[in-house]
Amino acid sequence: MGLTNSLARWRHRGAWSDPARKLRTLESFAETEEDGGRDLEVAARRVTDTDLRAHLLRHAADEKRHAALFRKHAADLRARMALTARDAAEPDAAYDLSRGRKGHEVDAHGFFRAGLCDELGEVSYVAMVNVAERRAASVFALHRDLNANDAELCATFEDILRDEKYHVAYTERFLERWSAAGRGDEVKKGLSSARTSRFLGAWKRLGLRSGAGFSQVLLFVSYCTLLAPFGLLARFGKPAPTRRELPAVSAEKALRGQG
Amino acid sequence: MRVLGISAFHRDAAAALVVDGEVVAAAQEERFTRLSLDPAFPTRAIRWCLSSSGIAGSSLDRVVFYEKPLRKFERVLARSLQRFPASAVPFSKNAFVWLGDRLWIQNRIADHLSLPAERVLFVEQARALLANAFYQSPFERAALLLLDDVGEWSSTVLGRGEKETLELSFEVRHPHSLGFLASALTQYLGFAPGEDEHKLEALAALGEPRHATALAALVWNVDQGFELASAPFRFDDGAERLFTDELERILGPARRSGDPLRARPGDAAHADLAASIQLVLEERVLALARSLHERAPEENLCVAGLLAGNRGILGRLATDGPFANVFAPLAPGKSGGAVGAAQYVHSVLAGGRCSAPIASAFGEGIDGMAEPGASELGDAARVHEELVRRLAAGELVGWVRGPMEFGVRSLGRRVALGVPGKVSGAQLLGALKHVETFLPCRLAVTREAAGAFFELPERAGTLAELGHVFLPARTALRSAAPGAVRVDGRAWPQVVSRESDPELHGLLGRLAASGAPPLLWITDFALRGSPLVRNESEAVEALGRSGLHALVAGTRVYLPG
Repeated sequence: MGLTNSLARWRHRGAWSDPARKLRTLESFAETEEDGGRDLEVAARRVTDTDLRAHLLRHAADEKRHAALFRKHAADLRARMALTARDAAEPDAAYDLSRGRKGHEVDAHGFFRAGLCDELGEVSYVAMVNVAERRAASVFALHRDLNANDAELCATFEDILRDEKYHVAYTERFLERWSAAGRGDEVKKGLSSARTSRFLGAWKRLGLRSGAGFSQVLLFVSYCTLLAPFGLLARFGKPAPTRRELPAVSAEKALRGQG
Repeated sequence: MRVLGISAFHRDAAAALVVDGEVVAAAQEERFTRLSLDPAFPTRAIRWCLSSSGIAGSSLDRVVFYEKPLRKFERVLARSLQRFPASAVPFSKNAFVWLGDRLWIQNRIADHLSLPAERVLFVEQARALLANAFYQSPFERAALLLLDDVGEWSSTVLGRGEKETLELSFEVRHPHSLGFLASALTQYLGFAPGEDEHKLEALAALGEPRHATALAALVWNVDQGFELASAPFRFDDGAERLFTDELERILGPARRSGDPLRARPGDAAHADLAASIQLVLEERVLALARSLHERAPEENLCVAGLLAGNRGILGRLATDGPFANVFAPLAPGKSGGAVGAAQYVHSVLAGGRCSAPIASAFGEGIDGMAEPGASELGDAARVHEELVRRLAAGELVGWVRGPMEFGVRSLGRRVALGVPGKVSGAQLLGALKHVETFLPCRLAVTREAAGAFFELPERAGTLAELGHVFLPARTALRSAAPGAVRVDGRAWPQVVSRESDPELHGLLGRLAASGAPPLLWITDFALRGSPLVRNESEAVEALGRSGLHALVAGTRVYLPG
């Protein structure tokens, strides 16, 4: 555990190593918390249990408050260090809670924007929140330690960690309640899926990225060697027809094959 | 017989389920992922189609993909070789996607649905898109015209349909493509190709076709088709820019996204260009329609593909074309291919023509649970009262009811409304965050009153019901709906009949009874850049981010904040 913790500290220390990175990290945290809050709000509207709905709404409000806290720290830092927008936008090792690529299709958690509760269903959603909040608690504790020299930021992390305890507790209570009501298999499946996807996700992403890069290099080399003679022939060959009469095709034949 | 149709990987992926000859469910993937025109494999749309019908994937009789992947791969390879060595980087990217994913689509679908690979069929894109148009049309016989960017090889196809059979007789092949020409000019004017062609068309109304001759020289009629000049365009897969420096040499520097748009009297360079390309497209399509009429001398025409969403082209086909009746479906593009492919397979394997309602509402409904902040109105009569009261007070109101529609626009089930005279169409569009001031807003009008406000050509009847055409406005419209009439004297109607939408028709009737004209501004309930709202929950969320004053969802009313 000690070694894992040291490795994690070593891996994430860069996120706070200079003011520009610190700013980007704070903004990234704010964005992640805000996205999470929005998704929890959507989920609150979709669940049937009014008690769960109230917890999800409180949780959503917490996430939004956390986002506001991180944004305030970011704004203070920006003003203090006179950082320009360019400094903050430069790519760096800022920490993203999901470590997923942020793009048009996913939110800062690395999940589809569609509303996870719709995607997963009530039980799996709460299981996912439970796993994510446990993970977030350990991540925030790590970052609190990395910012030991910044008392204000440390206090914010402490504040957030108190909320995280509540988030883990209420989700756990619902999972236990569902297990007792005979939905144990669903709960187990949800927890296992949430843990597995987080564990495998990083390896999959790494594999896909390196695999894709390697394959594209190989294809580029093939293009320049194996395809070169055909490419040269194609340049001097007869041009393809621009239009044509289509042969009559029977309806059954039209459905046959992929070509 | 149960057939699932799937379209994916180009633009606007979708799934559709046909059971015993009827379309029972259809959905676009974008409505679930909230990514406009999402091209990804439509896992969510498939899941919804199957679960809403209570059918397991393994119990499907057939699944059909809307294109022939090997034929498309052949085009990608052939075009790469023709452009050797300039195609090195696009080739390695394209080949990676094809070799790693697309070529194995049969197994991917089979695995996804837990059924044997033999049950997965493939139909050409042109056939799927035209089947969608023809089977939804009210015609027994019709000439068929596909006006797309590209499928496997075809960009344009002429054909004929009779009962359930489709005959495709002529094709124009990639890269000669009117759809791509429109997309290239859309991009040239700083808009998103494949998405913003409607903006090009709207901009055209503000300009004069001063560059029509220069543009017409880039696309010429040959035999029964056309050819495009190759130097100004680059239409290969993976190309990020659809035009070359040669086009800028001919037309001047391209507008970059965010640059000021020149569309004012005296400085309308961009609008003039849009008007020019619109005119060139209309003329080329009319020439194609005349060729088609010689081959297939039918009374009726069904149009599909990217350009079947162009209201100017459809209007010209209806008024100046050789066919008495023209029809285009509400989803004329790639998403409609999922429906058409499933219908075609059913027709071939089970016999008989599939039926589908013209206004295609087969999507997710409003569920029974209220969102926080809801006030219950009780019944439909109270809903209408509430709507009329708010609209008459000059409010902009979202209205969400029943199943979601499938296609490029909502005709009444996911819409935002306003009363002309109290508010402007621009205010309604602005409330949904649209920033382009030149975009037109639709006007819903009852069939009974339409003739008083629009010159309604008899043969544009169905097109006007689907909001597919601009029509010449009468004088009464100028006073009843200030701002609705464009510079060219046309406006954008959606004619509502009691049969097609009794609720919207009833609302217009109540407005008329209160002394207002039976007209309503109507637009899709979708924030700028987002797809239509899917359900009550999304509608409430969108309300909070919009400038609308209220939302009526089913029998409930919501206020923002």
